[in-house]
Amino acid sequence: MADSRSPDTDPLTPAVFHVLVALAEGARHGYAIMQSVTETSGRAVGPGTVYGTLQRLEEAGLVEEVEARTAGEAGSAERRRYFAMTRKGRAALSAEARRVSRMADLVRARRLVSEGH
Amino acid sequence: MPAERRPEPALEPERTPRREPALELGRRPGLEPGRDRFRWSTAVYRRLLRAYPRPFRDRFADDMAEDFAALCDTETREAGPAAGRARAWRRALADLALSTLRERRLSRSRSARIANARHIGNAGAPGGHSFNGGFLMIAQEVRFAARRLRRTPGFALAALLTLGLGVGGTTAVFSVLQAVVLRPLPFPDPQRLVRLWELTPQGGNFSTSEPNFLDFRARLRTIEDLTAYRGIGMTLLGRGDAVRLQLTLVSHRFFALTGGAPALGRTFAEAEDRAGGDTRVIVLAHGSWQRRFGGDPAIVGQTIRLDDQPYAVIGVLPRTFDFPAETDGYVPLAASATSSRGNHMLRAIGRMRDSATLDEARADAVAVARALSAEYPVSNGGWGVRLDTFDNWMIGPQLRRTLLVLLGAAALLLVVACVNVANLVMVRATSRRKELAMQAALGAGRWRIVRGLLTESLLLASIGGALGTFLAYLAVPVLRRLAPAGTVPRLAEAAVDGTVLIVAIAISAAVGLCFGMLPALLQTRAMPQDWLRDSTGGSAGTGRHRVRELLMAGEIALAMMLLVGAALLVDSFRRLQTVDVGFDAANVFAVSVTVSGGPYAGCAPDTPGCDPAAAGRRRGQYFQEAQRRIASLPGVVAVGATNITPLAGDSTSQEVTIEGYVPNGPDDVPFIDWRIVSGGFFRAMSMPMVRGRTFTDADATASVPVVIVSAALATRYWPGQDPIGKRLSFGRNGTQWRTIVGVAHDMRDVRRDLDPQPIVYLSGTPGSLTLVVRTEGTIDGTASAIRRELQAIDGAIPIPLPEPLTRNLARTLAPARFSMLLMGLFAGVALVLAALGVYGVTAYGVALRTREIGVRLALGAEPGQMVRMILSRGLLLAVAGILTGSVGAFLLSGFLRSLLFETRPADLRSHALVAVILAGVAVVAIVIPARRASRIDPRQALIAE
Repeated sequence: MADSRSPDTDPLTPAVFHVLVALAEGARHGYAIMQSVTETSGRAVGPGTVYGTLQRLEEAGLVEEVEARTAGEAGSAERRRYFAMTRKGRAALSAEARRVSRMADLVRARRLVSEGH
Repeated sequence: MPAERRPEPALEPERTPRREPALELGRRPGLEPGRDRFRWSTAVYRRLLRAYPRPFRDRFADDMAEDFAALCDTETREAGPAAGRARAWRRALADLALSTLRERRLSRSRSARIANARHIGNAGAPGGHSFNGGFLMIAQEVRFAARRLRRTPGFALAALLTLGLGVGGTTAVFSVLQAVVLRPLPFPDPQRLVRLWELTPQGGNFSTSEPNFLDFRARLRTIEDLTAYRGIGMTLLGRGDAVRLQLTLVSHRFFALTGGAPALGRTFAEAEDRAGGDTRVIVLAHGSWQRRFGGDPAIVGQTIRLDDQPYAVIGVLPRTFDFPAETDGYVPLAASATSSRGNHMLRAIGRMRDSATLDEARADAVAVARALSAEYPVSNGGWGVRLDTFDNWMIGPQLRRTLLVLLGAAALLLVVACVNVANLVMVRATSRRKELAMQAALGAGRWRIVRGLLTESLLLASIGGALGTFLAYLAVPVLRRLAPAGTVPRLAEAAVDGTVLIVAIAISAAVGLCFGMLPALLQTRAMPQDWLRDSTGGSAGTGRHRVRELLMAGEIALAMMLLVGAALLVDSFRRLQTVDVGFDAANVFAVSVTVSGGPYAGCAPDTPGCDPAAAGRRRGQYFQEAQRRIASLPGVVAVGATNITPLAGDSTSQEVTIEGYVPNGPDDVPFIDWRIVSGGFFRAMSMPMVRGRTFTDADATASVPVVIVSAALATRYWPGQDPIGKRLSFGRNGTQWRTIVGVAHDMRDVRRDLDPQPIVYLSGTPGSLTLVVRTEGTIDGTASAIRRELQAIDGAIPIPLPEPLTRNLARTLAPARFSMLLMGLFAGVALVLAALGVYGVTAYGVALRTREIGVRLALGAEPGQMVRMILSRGLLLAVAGILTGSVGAFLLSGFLRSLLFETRPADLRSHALVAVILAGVAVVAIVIPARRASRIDPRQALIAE
């Protein structure tokens, strides 16, 4: 379960990774996260997946709900829950990023993929 | 939604009143102008969100609905209103399916620690009844029901098998009914298609002749596209072995009428269907195109040789087109107005105009037939016409009735299965009294407990239904094989398809409710305290036991009805089987040989270079040589030939003038079956001559043509006289007299269930004859030896492998066998179920009265007395059931009447026989548990519980 995860060692699931990526630039509401995840992962995700993931990230202390902001889309800002990354979340994301990057280096060093695709 | 906004005004109390209305205005017409369009979609989506666990839903439902609307908005902007909505829904539903499962699983493991309290604890909670908890509740309910069923595998297995048999039988028969009767015929606008028969002066349906067909086509105002067709065999040469193709001659509107659009090439043009023109074109059916020509599309435009004539292949029909069934190809009919009006060979079909009703079309046809009668009195005098729909022609009331009777029987079996399972469920529910009482005592309401029991029943019904559908899936091919090709139209298409599946599901659901509801309600009628008291061995259970006894009697009654039906059909089948067909088919091979084309071709007398008499001689020589060669084979006792293969369903008949017989009006003109046979025919068929002699070789060249008549004909027209030497002639006013030289034993060579018809036998040299070969015992390889001899005479003539004549004999019994076997199967299963039901109810009754029996035994009753006591009670119920069933069978037997041959529906012997069998089975099913009761140890019984 999410709350037993130690952010420095365990790899993140793809859904978690992409949600954290979506929150890297700041607090966002569910729909924006959904669109961002769809874009970065290349897989169409729906609200249920997004909020489920958010809830588990929240339980693990990686994400928190923040006060609604009035900036941007004023109308919907009023009515939407916003989520932002905690310090722990940011640490987990960068740990994951380093891990992925190391793996990518490894793959390249062993010439498992051709350079420049 | 208001709850969500509350924090804001609390934080900024001053600004809120100003901003709220502005936001409301801004949101609806401004920022989200389009979202309102997704009102309905969003509402539906919101409903679906109820599948999520409560806490998740409470927290996120509003946001998710909002996101969904936004998604719809984005997608419709990209892909348009319809496609966009579809895309949004696809995404949302996929997401929903995955994430609800995940959230529910997680939510369960979160609350795993309080799992034990949940089952009963939830029961009393107000949320337990609300729709909101529905989905979760049902899943949970099903899980619990499954767990309970697993705990009693014996019960579950018995119930599932019973249900499977009931649902399977009903579903299988329904799939046949659906394929044969319910599905519309595969033609465009089939209800407007009609078949036209000419009626003989005696009132029998008959084919039409070419000139009559042309006149009907020209004169009928209510019918368009009147078309005629007939079968013809032709030999395909030049592609490996010579093969016989079964072709259909059709007039050119045939394809428009029946919806046969070509898959390749084209169908006939009007010019190719004109008498005297070049009609040597062929349209191939899909099957023969694949079989004979390897499915080669380049065949269109090529020329093939049929009966030594070149035919251009102009088209290929799609696989879906198969009318008349199993035709290899179609060639133009080119009906001629100058051919004989009395030569009735054609089947006429047509389409009623939209403006006409069937009655109007019939009146129209009758008027045309009358006019033709008046114009051509020699050929058409006294002839009439009959029109009927394709439905009635192809499916026919007889077959429809048979299938409905079988479906009714299957439904009865289903009811028996239901009653049985209801009994099982009740017995089981009773044995769970304490558990239910405990639940009730802990606050579960009656509905809650009923729901638990009902869920079990529905779960059983679903699994049993699935099992039944699977059984039906296995049974349908068996049913298809039970009825040989041609006896039941469209049977080959019977399958467990979508419609059948829906019906099976509906049946299963209804069954589940039926056998689940009654026990559930009965079981929970009493108060919890009663149940607790009951379990200590009181007598409240006997009241419910009475319901079970009634069900048992009902089950016996239903089984009785099915058994009586089966007994009647068996009796009828036995009678049909023992009908004397007049010949001995055992050890007889039959092979149909057609010599046509080339040197054997008949031709118009004025064709240069053609001598029809010579062709006839060559045909005669061929068949004589064939019989001579076959007769010399080892083991062959006799060889003969006939133009009609016995019991293959074909016949030939014609008007006959009998010397000295004056018909009373046109409908009394003798219309008599005729057969062309060789002299050896009667010996090969073991048909003794009653008087006179058979044909000899000399008859073929004798100046006076001779005939042989059947005994039925002799007694009909020369009662009490010797028919030898009397004369008859073919045609209404025949002048070519033929002298009778022999009287043959009667035979039924067309239908088994009709009295032997008068038959005239003559000798001749037609192009197509069936050779009948009697052998001594069964010798392996005889069939292929016969074939080899025939091939040796002329390799260009295709010879099929000779078949035992007994196969035709079996074929005539096929429809009766079909209904008998099915009914017998249903009755057999019903008997087993009824026996199980009686056993179960008695055994349970014994268990219920263990204490009472123990007391009686302790007080000095004899064990035998106990057995008699239980037996008399059980038998009373069984007899009541048998009598009720007998009355029911009497009332229902009218439906069977049309399926019976020489058997009365109210046949007392069948009723009595079945009653004895059923009573015997009941006695066995009662005595087994009763004997166990007599061995009860009084001490054990009294200290038990």
